[in-house]
Amino acid sequence: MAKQDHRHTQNQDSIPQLIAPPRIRLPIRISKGKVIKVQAKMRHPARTGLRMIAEHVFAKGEPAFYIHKMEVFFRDVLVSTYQMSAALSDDPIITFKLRASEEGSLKVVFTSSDDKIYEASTRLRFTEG
Amino acid sequence: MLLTGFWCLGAFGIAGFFDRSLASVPTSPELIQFPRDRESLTPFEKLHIPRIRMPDVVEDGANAPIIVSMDHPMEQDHYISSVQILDYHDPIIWKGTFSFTPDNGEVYLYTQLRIDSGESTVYVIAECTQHGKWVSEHNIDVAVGGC
Repeated sequence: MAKQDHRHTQNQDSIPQLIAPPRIRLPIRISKGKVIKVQAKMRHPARTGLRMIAEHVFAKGEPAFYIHKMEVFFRDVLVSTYQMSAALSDDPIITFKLRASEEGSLKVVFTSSDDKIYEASTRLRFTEG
Repeated sequence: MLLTGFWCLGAFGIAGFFDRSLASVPTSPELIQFPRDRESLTPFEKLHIPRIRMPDVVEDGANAPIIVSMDHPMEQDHYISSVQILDYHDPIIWKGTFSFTPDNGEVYLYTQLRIDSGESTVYVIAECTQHGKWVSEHNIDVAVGGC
């Protein structure tokens, strides 16, 4: 299913309706020491702040609004940081890998361009020896 | 190959000039490394050149998927510390920088980009803590621009 494009269909007042807390998805099977895929996603519009005035010609438009940082904490230790520009899609889905060395808390923190912080956390548990 | 490399280096310099976030992108030729022969990479190059998986033709430039992966070991004193995604054809050149630590275990990143319409080249720069920055590229054609 095609993702909804919020760029030209929503005004500034409707932005809060387009934002939902982030979520983390872990694999069903996790065993100690294995590298697993972690998916973090969040419903959030990405507006570049540009408007097209001719083909391949852009001018400044409304203020840019997007997720500009994602931090990953595993057992309260910063594992990864993803710094993004406005040139990422709406409702970003970011998948990365993590070594499941121990069981513990996994937290993802998204920061938007207006410095609002959105968090999601889950517990990484081994399902196999 | 030489021309491509020269163009890339020039472009990195331009991007660094316009975008503060790219201030760390090296402009000296010796700091960016390219494979000598893209068709037959040496084992050392295979470890350091990022693999880019994305479609050659993208219908919707507002949602262009990209997967970057590498086989490089992630050891405490030798790992890939970051991966940057760039497209010099775009009004927003710098797409993002993902920083890794050995706790990641492997270099893998999936995300979606906004890319302007037309033909362009997506560059990925991977930085190894011991062997500097390495560049890989992928040509794409975007039907409907996403910027």
